[in-house]
Amino acid sequence: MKSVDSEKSYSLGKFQERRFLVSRYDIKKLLSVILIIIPYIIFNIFTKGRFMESSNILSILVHAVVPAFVAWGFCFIFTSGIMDLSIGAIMILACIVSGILAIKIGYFGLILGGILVSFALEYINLKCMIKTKIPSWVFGLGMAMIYEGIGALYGASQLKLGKQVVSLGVTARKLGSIPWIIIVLALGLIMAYIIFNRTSIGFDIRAVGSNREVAKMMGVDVTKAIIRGGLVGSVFIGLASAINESYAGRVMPTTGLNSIALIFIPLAVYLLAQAFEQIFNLTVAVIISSVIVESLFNILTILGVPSGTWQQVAVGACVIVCGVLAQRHYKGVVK
Amino acid sequence: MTNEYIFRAEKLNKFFGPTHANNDVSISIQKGEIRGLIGENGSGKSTLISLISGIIQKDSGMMFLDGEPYEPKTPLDAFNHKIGTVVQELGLVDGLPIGVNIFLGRLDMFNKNGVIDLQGLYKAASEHLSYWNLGKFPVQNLASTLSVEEKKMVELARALSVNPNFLILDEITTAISLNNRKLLYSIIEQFKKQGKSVLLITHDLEEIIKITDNITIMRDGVVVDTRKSCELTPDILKRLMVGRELSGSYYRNDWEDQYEDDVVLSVCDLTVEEHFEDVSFDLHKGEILGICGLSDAGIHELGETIFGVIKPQKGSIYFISSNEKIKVKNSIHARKLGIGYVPKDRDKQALMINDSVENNICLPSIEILQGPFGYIRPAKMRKLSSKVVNDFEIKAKSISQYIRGLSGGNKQKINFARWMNEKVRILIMDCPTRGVDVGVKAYIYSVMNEAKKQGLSIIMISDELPELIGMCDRLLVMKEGKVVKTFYRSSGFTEESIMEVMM
Repeated sequence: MKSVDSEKSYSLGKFQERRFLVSRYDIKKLLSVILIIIPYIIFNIFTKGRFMESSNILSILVHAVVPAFVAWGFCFIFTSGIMDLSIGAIMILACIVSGILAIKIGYFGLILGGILVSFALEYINLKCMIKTKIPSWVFGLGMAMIYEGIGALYGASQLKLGKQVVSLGVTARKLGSIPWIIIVLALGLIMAYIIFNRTSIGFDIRAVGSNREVAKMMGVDVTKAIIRGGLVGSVFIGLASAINESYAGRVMPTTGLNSIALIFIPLAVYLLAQAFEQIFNLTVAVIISSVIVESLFNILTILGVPSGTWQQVAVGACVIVCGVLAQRHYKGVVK
Repeated sequence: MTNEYIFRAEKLNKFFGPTHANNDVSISIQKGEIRGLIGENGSGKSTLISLISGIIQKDSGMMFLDGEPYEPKTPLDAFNHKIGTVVQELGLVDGLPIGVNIFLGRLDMFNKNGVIDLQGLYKAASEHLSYWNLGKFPVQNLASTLSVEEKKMVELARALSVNPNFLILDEITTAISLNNRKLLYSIIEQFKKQGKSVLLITHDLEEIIKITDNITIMRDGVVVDTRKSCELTPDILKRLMVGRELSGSYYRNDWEDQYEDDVVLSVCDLTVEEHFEDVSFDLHKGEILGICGLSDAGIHELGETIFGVIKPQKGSIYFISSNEKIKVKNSIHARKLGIGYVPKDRDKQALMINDSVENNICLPSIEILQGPFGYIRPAKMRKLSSKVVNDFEIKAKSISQYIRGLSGGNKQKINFARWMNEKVRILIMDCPTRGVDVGVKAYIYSVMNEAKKQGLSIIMISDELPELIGMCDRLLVMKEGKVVKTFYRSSGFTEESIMEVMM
């Protein structure tokens, strides 16, 4: 038990004990890393060494980049309580504009197009959500259909002209390939880490997400915090779109809310990162989670599981499992 | 010419729908004055300080700060005018570090090229805490790691961080233990010496008379009087607050251990690491057993453990009925056995703040209310909740009003009343009169007395020695997680003898 030497030492005594938790925390961190690595070794044995071949690991890393950027975007948008389901549709439009500008002005256009579209549309979303006070997920669904519609109209107009949806061909493809994609990932991590943990934008958004009323009482401008955080998030979404366009070369418009499927894997990544939050910083946990989730699909592919069937089951299961893990430190509460 | 008043308000009005929360409120506070503000729950005290602190905006009237017109639009505005406030209900942002909480809303102070200098911030937070002698906190840890009392101390540090000329403290003393109260009084004294002012809201009448210069009394949104503290007695204050005579003491007036021999609860060698160890006692039928101790004695955690919220590392809790000894497994099991719990932190542990008064009252009584196939008739729920609202004089627009819109005292009435409604056999009450005015206190004590006579056994955990002395048959004093002494009502309790053991 604690020793009480003076009137004020109770706090010190308690926290001196808590300091032991720091070493426990390090052990927890180490154990987590081991627990992550062990399945990799097992799967590697299971796939006769194919899983951990350097080329395969690199492929996993490349596939993890876009979900990681989108999940960083979620860190700034979802953390404040805004569940914007139109992000997938925004990404499709951002990819298209990104592609059009890339063909005209190269890499600058590729990045600028993605960021501008994402920034503008997310700004409209946030302003309208705050103004109308409609639940964000309802508003997001509505806007997703509108943005999908705009994309479909563009696709149809291209067809009328006897053309196809913009395709990059060989233009501006380096951003989506090694080594640039990994460099961009590292830069993204630095940017996300600093903004989330070392700026008033990050602190305000975390305060609003933790307890809106208390944050307001403490002098945080809640509306401003949500918009500023959302716009930072939109930059990450825009960058994800640009990288995706560069990697895939072409992104086709969708309808019938199929755009939501685009954000399912990033959502699983974000939820899993939340589960890791007590061990790793959320922005770092996003990369770890993204690699884990992409590894899962990689294994399924290596094992010959057809995409669109069992892999879809795996996506759904993955989101649920990650959600369950993310809720574990919230006692009895459905967030 | 210098202005003798730090703050003046003239004919302030604030409406919440049909409720006139502040009705032509005028108040003037001099520089170097310690002013008390007192009134029943729902009398408009919290509304007034919310107006001064920029949490809400007035509908009409004028405010002046140091002679200049003052109209804060946000709490940050009030901070910038050197007004520091600790409010009753809202606490800290759990998801942010303690140090960041102290400066939240003003983080730009630590901005270096767009990036917050966290090391500088944590250093400033630590220096600030030690300057005011508020304790050593690991400022980089999340605020969620703190207890209710530790959070209050950090909230106080936050209010002091603006170097305020005017400090507003709303019901802070009920959340902190005796050692920290002494510290608070010394801070208030320091303020007075420096010519700064304090507005203190508390329901502890003795305390407010002792430490303030003048006391303003509010009733039904109106300032009814301002008197010199030295001319007041608790009885006069009670009368001024409720507008009628409240006779003498509201505690028990007998000095006997009045309970039956039957043991209803047996706690054996209970240990929860970091909080308490080897705690053993028996609770008898019709007994009020008090538990007290300083901030880190583990008294609140003991209450949670007995109800099954915290799982002990060692020891057992037995519920004894008709000589049958049943081990209490968890809180659900405890509830089924007829054990109730009124937690200290009503907003986080007791009430569904985003739900109606009706649902909150009926929740512990679902098993009684439900009919065949689990169907609960709405009429039954309405009847029960209306009865509780009337019996306990809960000030709510209707039973469908959301809990979050009620004053702290009315929330506490519901927190307590809903257990009295159900036929519980053992009730664990943690700080049952926290944030409650004298009228409600008197009512809660009378209900406790009545329930005791009918055989209810009560474990009363409290930081308030007078209420423990006034109500308990037996009092366990805890220190550093251990029960160090048991006092009996028949042997006589004195505050001094208890304090001697606690310190």
